[in-house]
Amino acid sequence: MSEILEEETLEKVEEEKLLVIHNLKKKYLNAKRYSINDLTLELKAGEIFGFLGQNGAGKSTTIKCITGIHPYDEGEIIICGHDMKKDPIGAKKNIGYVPDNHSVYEKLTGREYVNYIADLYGVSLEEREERMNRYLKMFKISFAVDRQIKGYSHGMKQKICIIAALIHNPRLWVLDEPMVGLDPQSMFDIIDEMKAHTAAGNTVFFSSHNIDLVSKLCDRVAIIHDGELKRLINLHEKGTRETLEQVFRSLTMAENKA
Amino acid sequence: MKEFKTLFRLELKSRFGTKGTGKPFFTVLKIGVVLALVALVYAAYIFGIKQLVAMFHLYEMSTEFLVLFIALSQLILTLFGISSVIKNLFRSGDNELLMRFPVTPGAVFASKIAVFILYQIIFTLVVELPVFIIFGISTAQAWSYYALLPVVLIFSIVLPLSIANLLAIPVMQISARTRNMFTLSLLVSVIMVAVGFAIYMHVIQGVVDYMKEEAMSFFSKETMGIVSEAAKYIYPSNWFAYMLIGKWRLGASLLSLAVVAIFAVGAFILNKKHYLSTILRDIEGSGATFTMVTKNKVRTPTWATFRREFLDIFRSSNYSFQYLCMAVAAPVMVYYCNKLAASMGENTIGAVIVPALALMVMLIFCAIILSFAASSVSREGENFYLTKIVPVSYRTQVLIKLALYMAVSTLSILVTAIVIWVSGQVEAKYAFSAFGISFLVSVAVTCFAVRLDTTRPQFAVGGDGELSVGNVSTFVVLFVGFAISVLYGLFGMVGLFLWGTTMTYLILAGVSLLLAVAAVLWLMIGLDQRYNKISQR
Repeated sequence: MSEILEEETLEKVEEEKLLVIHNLKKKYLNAKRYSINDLTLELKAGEIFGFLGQNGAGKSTTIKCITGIHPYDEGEIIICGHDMKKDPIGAKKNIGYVPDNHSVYEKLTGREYVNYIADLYGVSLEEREERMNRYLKMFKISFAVDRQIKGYSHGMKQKICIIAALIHNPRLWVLDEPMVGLDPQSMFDIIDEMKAHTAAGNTVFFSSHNIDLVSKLCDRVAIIHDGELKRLINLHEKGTRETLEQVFRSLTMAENKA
Repeated sequence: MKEFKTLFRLELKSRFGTKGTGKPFFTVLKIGVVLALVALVYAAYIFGIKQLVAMFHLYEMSTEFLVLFIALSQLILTLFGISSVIKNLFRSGDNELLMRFPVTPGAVFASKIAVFILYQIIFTLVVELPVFIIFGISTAQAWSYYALLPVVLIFSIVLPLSIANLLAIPVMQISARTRNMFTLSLLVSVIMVAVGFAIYMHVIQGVVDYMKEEAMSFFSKETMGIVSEAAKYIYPSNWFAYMLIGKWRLGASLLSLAVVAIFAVGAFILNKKHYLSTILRDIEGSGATFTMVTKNKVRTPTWATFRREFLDIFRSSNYSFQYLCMAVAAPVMVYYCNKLAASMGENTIGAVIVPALALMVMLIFCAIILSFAASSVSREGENFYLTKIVPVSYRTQVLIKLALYMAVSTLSILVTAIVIWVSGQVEAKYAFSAFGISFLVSVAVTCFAVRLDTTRPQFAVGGDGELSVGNVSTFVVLFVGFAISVLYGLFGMVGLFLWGTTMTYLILAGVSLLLAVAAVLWLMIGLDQRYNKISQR
């Protein structure tokens, strides 16, 4: 009986959609064409989802729409059941975002910054202490947490951004090209954390240019080109991991030639 | 030379690169309005100078006028020079970038100083040259005056530039040593501003009192004696003037040349030796940070945002000076301004206008402090995205910023009111009525400022994450704030004569309340939609 219940719960979790993007359209002010054109995606709980595309394909714009940074023209974005337009606060509570430029309030110390973000998400003292200590240890920056961020290296800023993004244990963790400029050990640490995060029933959505990493790490991947979704690939299907690079090249090169 | 040309062109492009709005009509309109305003101010300037030259000439004090004018313009150019040299030569955002390229520090220095010299030339031609010409015509100077004029103009450019360059390096070294001493820096700035302002106002007050006691014009025998005596010792401005008008010409010319040459050579040697090392030290030092061990602590989102906003200002010497220093020093500045305005106004109109003058001065300083609110969104810079992703409504975030600005300005005007009351400048009822009215106007000005910035923020930040260019909204707020202050002051003065205290203050309070309500509505209606539209690509 209990086994049946566990299976049912697992199925339920897997079927739970943490991010639904439906017919999303976004055009920048004074732009002639849509940067995102009719994008539809659904991300389930417990998966690592990769987002591939060339420079200017619309990856960052999509992510900025998902996180509430950019307004969008048409379509809907639903995060854990909360519509980004109708209930932005509810939607944002469930997101943790790591930007590509890892901008943070550099006049604060690392601890002040993480505490500030934790305060905005209403994280209790016990939870923030446990998480902060765990991540500081994992990313090996305990020694710098009380220093002003202004003096941090590129990688350290990235790590403090990640800690701040995870401090409220978000259901949807969004990362925009997270591995850029990181040392190998830090990359492994982030990969481990991504896996741990999804194993707990959450979802990771990240954009990358690293096809090899995406093919090894992700459950599913979307290839976007010129703001349009070109292919949605389930990497658990046989042979898809091996052919991902080929598929990506054929899709983007064909378009470039055209 | 090729290096210099390329860098100079780059420097000009980065400063004057076109930023068209895409709507030619509005661009033309904007330029037209600015040109009309500039023409108006310039016409007033020329007219004023003409009158002044005629007055001095009438009292046979033409030489003294020339010396004072040269001294004043030298002082302005030197003060402007020090801040410009530090900002553009030593703390320029592209220094780090340029150092990576195969260009010599000399070429970088020359390209940047050339732009600065260009500014000095424009100032000299637009502000100084007309005065020299008016002076020459009014006092019927000989041809030699005009022949030597270019030399004096060149000296007027080179000398302040050299002094500024000589002083910039020690100033840079002091600032490097006090980089993370935020409280000390703020305290020193407050003391310097307050004391400097007090001395300045004291001198002016002395002149006004003297004129009042003597009960005669500025050109009384004794005044003339003091000015003539002082003009003899204002070196080297007096030598420049003597050179022009032919008084002890050879000696004055040689001494002028010697002074300019000594300062120029000194500045050249100092910069040649220390420019690169000072820049490199500054680039290296910009990463120098502090360590502050704190404990994790839970705060409400409102208090956390309030605290973060405050720390962001407090830990920036630039913002701290612009905002906190001004707010803290305001009571002292208002006290002295009020004292001077009251003694001048009392003398000519009557003591009845003093409360209205006090209100006007308070409002002027309110406008100066609150103009900072016009960059509340822009100052987020690269971190603006954070305000979009956090689960705190835009409205709440804006209200928290408003609360901070209001808390600081309210405290500042409250202390000011107490100071002018306790010092006996105005009675308690006037001081606290002025406080009430200033508070309401502060609400209006703050909301107006934030509204402007939520409509069109400018995220132009430098390498330190701070705003690198002047925000247009700040100037608009300053202009509007000053206009309100003057209107309130004038209305108050007339009202106190015509309707008495109670009615005048009631009318002003009523208008202020209306302004405050209107500004709050203007800010709050559609705020979420407006904020949502702001995006950095």
